[in-house]
Amino acid sequence: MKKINLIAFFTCYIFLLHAQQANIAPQQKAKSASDAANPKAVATDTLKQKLTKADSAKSLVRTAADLKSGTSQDVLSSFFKFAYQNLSDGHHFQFNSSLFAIKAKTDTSLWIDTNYNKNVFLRNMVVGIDVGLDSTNKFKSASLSLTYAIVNNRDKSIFDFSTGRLLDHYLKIVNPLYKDALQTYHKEHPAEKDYTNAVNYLFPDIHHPRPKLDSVPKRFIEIIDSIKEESKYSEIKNFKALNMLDSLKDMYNTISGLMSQSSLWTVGGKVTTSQSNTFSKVNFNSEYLKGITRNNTSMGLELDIKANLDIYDTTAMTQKYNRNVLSGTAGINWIIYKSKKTQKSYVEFKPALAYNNVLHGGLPGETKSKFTGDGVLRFRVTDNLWIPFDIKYDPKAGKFFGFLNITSNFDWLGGNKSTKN
Amino acid sequence: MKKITISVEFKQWGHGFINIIPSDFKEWDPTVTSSKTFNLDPGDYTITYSTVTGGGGSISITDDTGAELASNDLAAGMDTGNFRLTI
Repeated sequence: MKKINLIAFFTCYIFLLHAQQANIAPQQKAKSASDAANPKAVATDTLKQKLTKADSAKSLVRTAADLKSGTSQDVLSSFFKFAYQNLSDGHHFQFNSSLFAIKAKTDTSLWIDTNYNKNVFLRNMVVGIDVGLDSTNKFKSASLSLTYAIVNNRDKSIFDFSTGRLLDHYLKIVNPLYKDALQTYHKEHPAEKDYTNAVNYLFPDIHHPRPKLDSVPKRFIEIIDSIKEESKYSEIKNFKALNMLDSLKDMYNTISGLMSQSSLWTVGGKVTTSQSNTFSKVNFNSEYLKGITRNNTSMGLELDIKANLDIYDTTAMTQKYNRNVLSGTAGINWIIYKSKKTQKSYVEFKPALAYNNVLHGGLPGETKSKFTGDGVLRFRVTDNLWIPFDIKYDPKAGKFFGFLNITSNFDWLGGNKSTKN
Repeated sequence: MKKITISVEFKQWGHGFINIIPSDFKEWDPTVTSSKTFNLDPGDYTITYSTVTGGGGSISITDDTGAELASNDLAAGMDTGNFRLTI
């Protein structure tokens, strides 16, 4: 049966990938045909600039989503998520999407950064459906869920829009200043060594390491300080002459590091229907995620706290039970490996302590409250595909249980996407 | 006069600020993967760059025959560097 489920999952996955490709191709063909028929339609600079800006924003948002941990994507999907879960109560096929991702499929103007920034509600609201099958692969339940991020401080796309713009703003001022200073110094002192030291101090790279500060000619520093006095450089007149780019680099790294530690807090609800009951379960949940280590390391830790209230209308042994169950988990998501270069997470493990309390309507022989140990070990196979392995430990029974899941966070945005690291 | 072409590749997104010194060229600030050709008189030149990228990229200089004169990888985040060229 498991094989059948896996085959069904991969069939759905391949279908979705095919649909994605099929969606891109007609758009490209239609665009080419349209261009040929009416060249003026796409020839204006304004339109080109808008498209470039939207594509650039799309790349930026896509990058930001890739940088999120697998756990973070589980808490709040950036775009679309398709998952197969083999849980204790059967098999589940889940599809989630942010409202933004759905709307952006028909309104590409949402990708223009100002529009993207404005649509907070669409970005923070995720809708989902879940179809559950029993162990004989017969329909068991269907669910509709809504999740909203009431605090979403780790939206790195917004960070990059704002910080990227800020960096651009300062680089537009610093860069011509350094160019003017180097040109002026080069005219006055064409001697190779001093000029080279000045260039390598300002613009070091792997082939041109930064020389010592005292090797930079004093006259060059005087020139920078003198140019800095011009009114067009008033915004940076308090920056140290030789360290303006370093200051900007530090600023970027510091804010980027703080960003990964920021909090994400969601609230949500889920209504489940089954063959026997129109509303067999109503769930209210809340989840809080906060990074507790710096961004620029090859590992990381995230605090993950989740609370659930499940209100059941259950039939067991021909008797109806109305029962309420309160549950919670508190865990630390350990990002075991992430690429230092791309900051993408590849291996994560989240051990957690889970607590269940049957507030009302306990089933015969059921323990009212119990603690269990949970763990999720997840591997990133591609940019889009995660393989999470749920491990549960029941201390009373002294048994481990394992459940293999497959999760695909895909953007369905169209266009090529680099997967290099 | 000799033509050189500066090309930048941003793996995901980026913005570059590129200078040619000494010259009267205004800075070139590409925001997408692109290239630009410059006509330079014989002499010694310094090409400086500072970039902000997601996922890094590369910058290279080729002559009018397409031969690569110099290249550097761009680190993700903010990066700087320079090339020295004799035309």
